[in-house]
Amino acid sequence: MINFLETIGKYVIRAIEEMGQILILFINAVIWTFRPPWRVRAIIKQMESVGVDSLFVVLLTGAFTGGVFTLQVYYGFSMFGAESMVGSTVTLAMTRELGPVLTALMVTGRSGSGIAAELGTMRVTEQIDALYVMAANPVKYLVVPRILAGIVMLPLLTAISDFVGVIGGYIVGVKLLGVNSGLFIGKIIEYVDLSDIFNGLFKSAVFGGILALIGCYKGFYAKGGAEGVGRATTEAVVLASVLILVSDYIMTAIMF
Amino acid sequence: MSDPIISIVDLHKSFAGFPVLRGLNLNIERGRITFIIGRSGGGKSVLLKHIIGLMKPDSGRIMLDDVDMVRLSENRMNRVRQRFGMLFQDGALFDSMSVGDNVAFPLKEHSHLRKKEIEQLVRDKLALVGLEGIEDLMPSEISGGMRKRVGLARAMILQPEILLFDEPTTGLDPIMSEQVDELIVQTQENLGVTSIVISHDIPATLRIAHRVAMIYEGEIIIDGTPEEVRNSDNPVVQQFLKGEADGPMHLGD
Repeated sequence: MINFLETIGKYVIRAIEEMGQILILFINAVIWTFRPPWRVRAIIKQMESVGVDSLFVVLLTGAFTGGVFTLQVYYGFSMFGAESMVGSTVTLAMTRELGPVLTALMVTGRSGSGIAAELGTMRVTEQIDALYVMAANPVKYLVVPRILAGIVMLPLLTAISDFVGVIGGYIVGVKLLGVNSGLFIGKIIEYVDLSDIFNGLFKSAVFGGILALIGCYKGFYAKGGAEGVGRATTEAVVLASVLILVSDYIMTAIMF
Repeated sequence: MSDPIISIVDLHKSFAGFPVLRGLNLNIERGRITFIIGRSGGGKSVLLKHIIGLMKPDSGRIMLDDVDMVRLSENRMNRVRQRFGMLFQDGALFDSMSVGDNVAFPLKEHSHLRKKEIEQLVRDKLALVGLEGIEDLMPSEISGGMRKRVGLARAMILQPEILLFDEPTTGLDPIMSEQVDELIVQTQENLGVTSIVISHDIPATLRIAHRVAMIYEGEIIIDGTPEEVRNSDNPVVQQFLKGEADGPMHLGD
């Protein structure tokens, strides 16, 4: 019994420690964000890696999500003759939920893991120590540009994902299933508010911050050679995905 | 001892309950070459990381000219670090930057020189370590020995007072090792730099060191001139110098 409690206690302590470390890293990153000189080139480079390079996978995800969602909604709505509502339903789902969350999860798999692997490798090959030794703060050099890139690029990617999702829905709904084009678009204009879109984009900015922060955290504290870097990468994807889904629920409950 | 630049007093450090440094005392003489020897995993790298503030001790003091570095704030520590240069075991070059940008990095951070001047200094330092015209290569495109020498050029570019070397010749061929040893001697002779070197190369240690200190079980068991160390009657020291498997040294753990 004591052993059992000890084991649970150990996990709880470890989890609290980890949350504390993440918070400290985050606070440090915020402090260093406002201290000149600003690394504009590093930030742009990270924006390219997090944003531009993720474009293709986000386009694919968005288009097919919009398409398949339309397929499912049409099946349900046609049972009681509400086919005209398909367009607005798909658009609301994309802008409020599917666009932000699926984009964030895809980018976590792509860039969150990449950040953890890169920083983890820098850690185990003493490059992060070398930054400290040369009196160049690694949080400023490595963490701040990545978090800023996440916060800026995720809403942009999400906006694109929302848009192609609706296009995908339109193609499936109007072209394949025969919903009236005017009704499809008309109901979108009638039922979707600007705030639906903006709240979704706000959430995606938070998700972008989370996936970059967790990637940096796991990489920053990686140890144990190649194996350790691999472990850090996996843990970063898992932890960031979970945090994205949990924070999504909390934000949605507050905002909508 | 005459004029220590660094005095380490009663340094303790444990990792996960296992003591690595157990009350270590050592003086580093100004402007001289001090070699630190000892078994792998015996705390040599840990000691070096304490000297440059990458690790904080559990207790003890590290005095640099009467300033206790252990208690410095991060900001003041950063200023103190500019007096140091460090060569890491595998060079620790930034692999996202070219060789030239790596060597130029400390200058771009801490000086206000113009681009042309920085380029010239980088060329000079690379020439000093026998590597000319490789500024545009990436660290992944050069050999391990070259990476180490580039790391050395980077460590020296701000002309630090104190240079730390973490196994500078491990993994180099004999001729290259000789050249790096020669470089350590020259920087000391020409610029009066204080060097602290971790090494497993016993013959080179006894040849070029001014002082040799040996770590054993978390303490310095001998600290003296190469002559004194060679003639020591401490059986552990003798066993280590001769590289014998049998002897009083604890090989466990």
